Amino acid sequence: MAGGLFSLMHCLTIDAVSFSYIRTIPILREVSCSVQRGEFLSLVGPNGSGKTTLLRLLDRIFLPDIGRILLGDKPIVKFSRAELARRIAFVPQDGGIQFPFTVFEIVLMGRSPHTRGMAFENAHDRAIASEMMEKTDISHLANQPITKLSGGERQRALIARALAQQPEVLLLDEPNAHLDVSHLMDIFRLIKRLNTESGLTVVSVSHDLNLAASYSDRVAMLKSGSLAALGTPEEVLTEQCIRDVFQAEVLVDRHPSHHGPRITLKT
Amino acid sequence: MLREILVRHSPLTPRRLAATLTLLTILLMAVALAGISVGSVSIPVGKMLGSLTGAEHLSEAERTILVSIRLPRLILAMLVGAGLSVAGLVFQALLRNPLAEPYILGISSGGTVGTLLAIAFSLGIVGTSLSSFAGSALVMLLVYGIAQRRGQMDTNTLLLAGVMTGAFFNAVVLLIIAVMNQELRNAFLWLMGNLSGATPEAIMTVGPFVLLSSVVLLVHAKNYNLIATGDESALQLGVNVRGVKRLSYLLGSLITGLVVSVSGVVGFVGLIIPHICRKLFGPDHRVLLPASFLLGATFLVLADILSRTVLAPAEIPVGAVTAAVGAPIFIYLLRRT
Repeated sequence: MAGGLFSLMHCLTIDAVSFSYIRTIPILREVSCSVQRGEFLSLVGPNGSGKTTLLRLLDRIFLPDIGRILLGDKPIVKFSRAELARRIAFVPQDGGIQFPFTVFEIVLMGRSPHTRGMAFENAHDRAIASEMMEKTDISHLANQPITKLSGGERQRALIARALAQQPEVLLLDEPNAHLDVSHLMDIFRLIKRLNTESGLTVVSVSHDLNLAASYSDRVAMLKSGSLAALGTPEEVLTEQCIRDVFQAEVLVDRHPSHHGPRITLKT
Repeated sequence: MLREILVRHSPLTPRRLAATLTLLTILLMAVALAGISVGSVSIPVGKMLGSLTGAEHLSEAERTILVSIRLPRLILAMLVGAGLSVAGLVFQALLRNPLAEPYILGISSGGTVGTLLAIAFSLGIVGTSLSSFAGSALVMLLVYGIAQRRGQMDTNTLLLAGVMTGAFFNAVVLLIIAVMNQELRNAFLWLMGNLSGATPEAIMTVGPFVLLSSVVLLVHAKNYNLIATGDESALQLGVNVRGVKRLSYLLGSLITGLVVSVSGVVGFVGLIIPHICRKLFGPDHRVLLPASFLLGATFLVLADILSRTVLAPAEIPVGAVTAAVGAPIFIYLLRRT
């Protein structure tokens, strides 16, 4: 039946979701959107438009007031917390860790949904953690306390931890916030490679429209809690759309290398 | 072995955990032997050990001193030290603040009020324990409620909320004592942190719960690692954060309340011991929890030896000894964070 095919292709389904932290101030209003398996979706929008909140709902950090979210064809509320952690990884914005765990210890925490109760991580878990540190270029920091690292290095450690979960879906909350330009490119190339080669589904909140344009299959643009536009970067990142949603005058032309839209501020 | 324990190859391995706990157990046993040996009548360790094998003979008086006086006091000291250290460590992980501690957060003072009220109404030992637990839990909820603003918790607000709530409850303590009779004046002295109330009943009422609670908290050691890196991080890594936190706050308050009901306010233990353990063994709670338990027990036996011997035959409240060591460490930590 068509329904079976439908659920096979849809990895995450956001079904008419509304949410508010305080009853009188709605943050999301009836947002519906689905994420395909192996897709790279960027959530963009002005400050306070509900991007990060939507990302949190996708990992059941908060529950929607109305509507539901499905992983495959099963509502995420039906998963156990550990089961969800094996399938979805969420990279929060750097929250400032107080205790001096080493980078290796932090990355190894990504294996905890896969280890039982009090059990210690085995050689396999350590190998995966080492591999992810290698990939995110933090192997040389393995024995450094996380409290001594720069913002960008901490960010990469948190991404390595999420990858060590070996999830199907990676949720990124402004991964570019603390990264310098070289590590930004490295991390996004890595995530894009996992996305295209291993079929990792990625949903990324981003303030950088050019970053969204160059890596996303589709872009979802939020405006004060509602979905304003959804489609390919070419369809969504237009001068008109950005003017409507961001109240900003921009110039959009072709990017010389990836041929997607390139956004430049008009001065 | 010492090298294996102290040179921190991260991350923690079962081997390092076992080596660490073995060493700390040996240390505890050595200090415990010293603890029952020292006192107004000194009973040499060699003689005690010899009497077990029949090589030496203890007099009737020595036997009585050991079994009825020193052993209960030793066990109580170990329970108090272990319990307060574990409670402190858990509060620090949950609040992500190395300065959190039952005494500084005012939780001990809440327990004191509960204990005093129970004594005033002659509720008996079980009633006193329950009342003390209720007082501790109440302060925990209060301080948590005061310090939280829009889901955020600021370190300074939390500490000040704890200290102020503690001050308020201490005022209530003084009020109760002023209103009530002479018997409570003695109770007040005892509540300054004193182990001379060690009786088998006190140990049997408090001991099993302190041990059991510690074991339950130990089961969650890995969760505390994840929670220590942030609530959202822990959630997304599969921890039922709300459930773990509720259970842990409850058990932490239970331990504190029970300990206060039998020993009074012994401050700073929950700060000193986890801090030393973190320095020595790293931040992994799978080693920190049992290590704090063992080292906390060791520390309080040592503090008790000091409190009994420094001004002998007079006794200093053991809470005074721990505060004298703990307050400077608190200030050091405050300067550093």
